[in-house]
Amino acid sequence: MARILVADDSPTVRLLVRRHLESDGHDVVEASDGTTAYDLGANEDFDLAILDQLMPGMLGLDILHRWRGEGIELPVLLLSAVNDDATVVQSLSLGAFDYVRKPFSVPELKARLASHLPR
Amino acid sequence: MNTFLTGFSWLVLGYFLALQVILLLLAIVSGIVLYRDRMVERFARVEDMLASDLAPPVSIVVPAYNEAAGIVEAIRSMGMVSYPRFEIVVANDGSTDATLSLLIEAFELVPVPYPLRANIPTAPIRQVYKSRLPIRLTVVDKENGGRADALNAAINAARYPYVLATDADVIIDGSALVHAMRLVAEDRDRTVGVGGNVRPINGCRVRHGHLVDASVPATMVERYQLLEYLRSFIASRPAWSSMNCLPLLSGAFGVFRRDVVVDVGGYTSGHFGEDMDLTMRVHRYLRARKVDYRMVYSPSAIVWTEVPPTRAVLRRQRIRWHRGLMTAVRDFRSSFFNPRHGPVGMISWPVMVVFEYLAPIVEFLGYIVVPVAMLAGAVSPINAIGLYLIAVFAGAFNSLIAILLDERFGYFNNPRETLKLMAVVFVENLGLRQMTVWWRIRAMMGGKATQVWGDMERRGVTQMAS
Amino acid sequence: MDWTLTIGLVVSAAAALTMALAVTVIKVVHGEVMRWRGVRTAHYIAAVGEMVSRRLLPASPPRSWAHDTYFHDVLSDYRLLLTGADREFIDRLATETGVHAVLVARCDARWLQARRLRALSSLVDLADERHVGDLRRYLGDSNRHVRINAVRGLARLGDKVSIEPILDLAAQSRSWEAARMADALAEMGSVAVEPICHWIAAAVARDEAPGVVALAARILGLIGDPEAEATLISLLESDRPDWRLAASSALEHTGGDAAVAPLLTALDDPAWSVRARAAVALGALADSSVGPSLALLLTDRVWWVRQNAAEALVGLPGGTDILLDTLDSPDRFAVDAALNQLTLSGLLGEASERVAHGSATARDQRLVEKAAGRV
Repeated sequence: MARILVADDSPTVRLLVRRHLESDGHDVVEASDGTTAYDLGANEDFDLAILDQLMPGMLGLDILHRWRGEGIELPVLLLSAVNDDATVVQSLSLGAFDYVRKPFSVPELKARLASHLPR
Repeated sequence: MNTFLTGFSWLVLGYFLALQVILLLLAIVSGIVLYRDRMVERFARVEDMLASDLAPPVSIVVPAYNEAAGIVEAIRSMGMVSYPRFEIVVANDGSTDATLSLLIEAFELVPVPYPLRANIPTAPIRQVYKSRLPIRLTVVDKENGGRADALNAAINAARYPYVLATDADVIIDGSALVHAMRLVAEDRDRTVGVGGNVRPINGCRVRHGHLVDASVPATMVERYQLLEYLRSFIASRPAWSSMNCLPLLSGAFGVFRRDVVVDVGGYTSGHFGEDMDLTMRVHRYLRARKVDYRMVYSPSAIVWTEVPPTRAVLRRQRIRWHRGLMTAVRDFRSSFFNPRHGPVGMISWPVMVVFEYLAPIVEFLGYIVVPVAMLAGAVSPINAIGLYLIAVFAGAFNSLIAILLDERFGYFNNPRETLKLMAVVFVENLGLRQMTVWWRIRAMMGGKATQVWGDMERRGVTQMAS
Repeated sequence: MDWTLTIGLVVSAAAALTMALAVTVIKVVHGEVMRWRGVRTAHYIAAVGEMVSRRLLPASPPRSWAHDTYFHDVLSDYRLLLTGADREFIDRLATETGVHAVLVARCDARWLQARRLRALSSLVDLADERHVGDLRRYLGDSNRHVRINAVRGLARLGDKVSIEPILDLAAQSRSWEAARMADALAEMGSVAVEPICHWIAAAVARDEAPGVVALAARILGLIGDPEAEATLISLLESDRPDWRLAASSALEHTGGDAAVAPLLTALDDPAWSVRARAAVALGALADSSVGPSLALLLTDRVWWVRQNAAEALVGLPGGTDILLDTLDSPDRFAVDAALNQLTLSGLLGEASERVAHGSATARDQRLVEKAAGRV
């Protein structure tokens, strides 16, 4: 049972991810824009965050960069349609534990999350 | 005498009606252009361009003079613009504050032996720096020479074929560049410039260099300016653009083909309106060489800027602008009704001169002559008031169209915000308008009171509390 | 009051007030429409999400769904977002609810272009093999957005047969539209290579559509399949600079050993952009043996060529040594290009650190001294 932040401007993504995480018994908090996601992560406790790269307000990488700068070591997975290697490399070097490209398969996403979620 | 007074009163009315008819036509054409543009945006999948090497690489050139308050946030936020290939070139224009040291620290700048192409002569360069971070950032440290000179230095250092000239205190919408460059990609051979849609950020909520929520600003001075920006950027420029006769690509967001800027000799140092000057020179230069070109406006390339929050600052800005316009009218008098200068010479520049440059004089004389005519009995008071009200209502009608067209962008979610803005349409006539008329008259009179080089106080737009 | 003035006053006042009212009404209505759209969309997102999670098709889906644009949008959203079995489920759901027939009917309508385009952009995302015929038909449409979207749809479905007609179409289109079509074809991947090479050969033979030949070469570069190498080499050896430029750029991603020799020849090309691109391509696909040839370009008279050559050398085994040796060159521009790359690649920074810590080699010393002399 973990508390997970899901930040994506697409309600479709949020719903899909939420459904699957909740069916595994996790607690999901949604954010539909970058600034809200940043604030939630900075002010509340989460076990994990799933960030989209292209969001209104603040980009996923920007959020990650700021969190790390402020000493927030929340495990982050980027889930994004942005497909260039530079962005992937940059996110991993900033400390994201994984980068999943859209389109994605739900089982794959779950598998990548599994090792970072408490049993 | 009375005949003269009556005649003049009718002349003023005629002038205003002509102006309003022109504005109405521009607004109608703008509406059509905005609708078409929306169609393209929705169905041509502009965002696909992000993944494509179709997108021509762009150098964002940013002059910075004493911008310590917000420079790091501003550059970081520019670095997050969605676009496949771009670099940022900052020209530190001999700042006397910590602008340079903050940049060096935040972006891990290292001095490089960068061989600058001195395509455009500028004040001496002290050192060129590059960032070691993944962000593509070049900083040119130079001696002070003013905004135009700094832009020229940054353009010299720019490596890409297109430059986006902007300011260090604006917020560029994340998708602005891709929208602007779509117009370049659409017609790469002809497009030499793309202007952006500048919107006042006053009253909006900004966090970490990003816009959170747009709303109508609090004070009348700011609301009046918002309305002015809508009238210009929403209800006029799309039309000018469609006729390929934009007289001005705004300094806050102007994409130019680098080689064209270099060919015309860059920005003019010490000019009060260097952006209009450059735009008009590009027109004149390419027309003279019979080049088939276009300069266009992208309504979706949105950039947010802080407009003067107080009357005192606004006064300085308006005097500066009008002096810039005066210089341009003098420099480009050859364009006035010049068929060889194409639609700029025949349409937009005459409109600019007659209805922008001369407007304060006509309006000011109207405020003097009509009351005199009233006292002299040449015009009955009721007629004079009726005349004034017609001008007010016609102006309001056009302003309301601008507000209506702005609905396409859907910024103000609450109808109450729109009502606030609609109130300005009528209230502006009770003093605000006259105030700006007077300032422009002062600009034309010249003298010491108009020595207005002073910048507006930098608050650091990205730091502005919610 | 003058009667003309009175009329003018009444008309202008009425117009302004009507406009004010209209703006208010439109504002409120627009707000309501947006809210309604939000509610509908949220409803469909939840419903479809539920079905996907449970893999459960509705026994009898409401017929209104097939006609509802918001339903189409939500289906497209899911279709683009998911892969594998989930994606197949969305396809089945689309078929089951009868969405395709409605979309095709709307695309075939002659009026309401916005509605046509909306339907077509959904169809492009949701279409399957049964709609290839329809999409081919739309290639001949009079609306350019329709044509571009049809290309996207056909490319997504991997319709090889359409590739050559699409390139012919591109040859008649404006450059931007042609480029958008090219982008779509690149999405098809390796299956497109053979027809594209065939088309290029035919177009070269007929001496037609040179612009689209360059574009087609660019597509081959984007696909990055070695099958295209021979075609690209032949373009690299042509007498058209734009073809040579496109070919040298594309060979960076597709070339193999066979491309090295023609690219080396291209380093002497009269067009500087070809020299610059050939340098980059060689840096990407050749071994250290091309180092000396690239080093010659460090004295090129064009800035871009020197920079690209230096950048290519940084990535080449032994290239750093060549750049270091260049620091002794009498050519100021070559020294600048070399030093610039040595700085940007971080080598200068590392050398300075070693000098500061007293662990510097003779090479480090030399680099730091040279740099200090220039900076």
